[in-house]
Amino acid sequence: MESNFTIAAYVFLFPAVLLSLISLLKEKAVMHRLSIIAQGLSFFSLTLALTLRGISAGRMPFATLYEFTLLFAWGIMLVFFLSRVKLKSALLTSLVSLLSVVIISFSGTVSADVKPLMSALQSVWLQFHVVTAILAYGAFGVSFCLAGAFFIKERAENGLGKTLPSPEKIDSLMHWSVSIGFPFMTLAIITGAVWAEEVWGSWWSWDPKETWALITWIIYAGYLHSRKTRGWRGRKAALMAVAGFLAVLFTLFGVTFLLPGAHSYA
Amino acid sequence: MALGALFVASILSCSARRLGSISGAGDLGSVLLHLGLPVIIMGAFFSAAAGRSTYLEIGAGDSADLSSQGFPGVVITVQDFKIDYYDNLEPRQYTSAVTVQAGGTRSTGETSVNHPLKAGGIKVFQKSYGWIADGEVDSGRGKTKFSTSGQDIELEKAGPLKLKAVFIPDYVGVLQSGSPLPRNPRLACALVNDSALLDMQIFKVGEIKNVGGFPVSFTGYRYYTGLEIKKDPAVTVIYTGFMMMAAGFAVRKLFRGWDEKEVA
Repeated sequence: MESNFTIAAYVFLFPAVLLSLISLLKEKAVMHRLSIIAQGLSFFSLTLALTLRGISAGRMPFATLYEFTLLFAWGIMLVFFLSRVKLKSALLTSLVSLLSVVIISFSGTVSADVKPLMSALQSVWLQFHVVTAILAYGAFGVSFCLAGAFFIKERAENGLGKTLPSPEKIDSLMHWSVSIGFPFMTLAIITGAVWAEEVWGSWWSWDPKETWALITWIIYAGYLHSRKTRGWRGRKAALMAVAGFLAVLFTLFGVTFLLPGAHSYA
Repeated sequence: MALGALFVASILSCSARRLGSISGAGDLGSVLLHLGLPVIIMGAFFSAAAGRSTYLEIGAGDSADLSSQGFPGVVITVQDFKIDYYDNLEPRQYTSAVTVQAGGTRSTGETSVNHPLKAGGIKVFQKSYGWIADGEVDSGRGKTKFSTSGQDIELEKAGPLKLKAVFIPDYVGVLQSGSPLPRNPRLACALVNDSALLDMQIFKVGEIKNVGGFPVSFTGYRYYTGLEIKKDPAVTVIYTGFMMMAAGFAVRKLFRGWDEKEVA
């Protein structure tokens, strides 16, 4: 049952991408509305899939790479829907749907087995750590899509970028998105450190996951500070948002496969 | 370290300047969150200077004096060790019943993963576990008892000859355990000369066999528990830094929002 909803979430994303692209070319608002409905259905299906998985596992679906990958896509879609209060763009819908397709596709390459919680994960800190990380990564995912939108707007003002607002507004929304993600990233690192102290007696061990989470945090801290103190906006800020999200991807997937450590289960 | 000190100095001077130009609670939150960082870094330096920790693998029923490992007068005794398994035989939780003697006081309690024991001013963390095999070997100069969790056993006067012993809790005909439970316990004992295998025997509990001419007996087996012992007064400082950062973000959010004003 759960896998049916995961497949449904995946399938709904394709019309979301196609319809939003068509609405870009044909300038039809109804197409964009339909693409948002498709993405909404995908988000709803993914929420149901994660809920059912949690029920069948008898725990929150926060324990395996498969679960975290689905949560990652869920977090990006959640922040995207929040961002629609400020910006409604067919291109952004398309980019976010595309990113979600890639992430959910990746979940198909890792084991979907429901596993019991290993002893180290049996802590209330798991919920705080994962929820804050998901909100952070979701916001960073949207900022990455906005950086993409910024570059497209810059190069194709009247082509693909015509449904987009001014580069200044995209830049401002990208900053809003990073401003949401950064405190949650900080909290994810703090809750992880407090948890590590409880479980291993070491709040910081320079484990590859910890180190890369810190690198990600430093990149986004650099984004916020360079904007405030050096006035870095536009292209430079967008490049930093891209670099930050690449660090997020490496922290989440690259470290898991290339640099196994204390977080090898995730 | 110098880099850390420079970073701390930089944030402190920056925060001092910010304090001078505070125009609302949101700015105060910003200063609080920035000051949290040097507090954490100073806590880390303090931890490196004043914190102590050691890792101990100890059998159920055994005691260890930690005086030589940076904990003068601290003696740990493991009264019991138990593992709770899931149906698929993955460990759900493992727990050591421990007595801590420190500074004239004696406290008993349990430590399990995610639930460290606090006693006698130290913390005892449950980190790992495994098996210890107990046995005896006659090396030609008399009988020597051994307890091993996988290390080599030196044979006196035998030059490069060593015994390698591996405990197999559930022997199923190969040198791998069928399950983590002691359903069919065996000791695999090999005589090696450097890396060359000279002889190997599989023992049941109580058996005595010759391994390359050396009589070896397998007398029993038990769990060992892996415990991390720690005393670190700096953790409170570090947690204070964490709280300052979290509070700083909360205050900023409450009084400034997510910098929404910037979004047109």
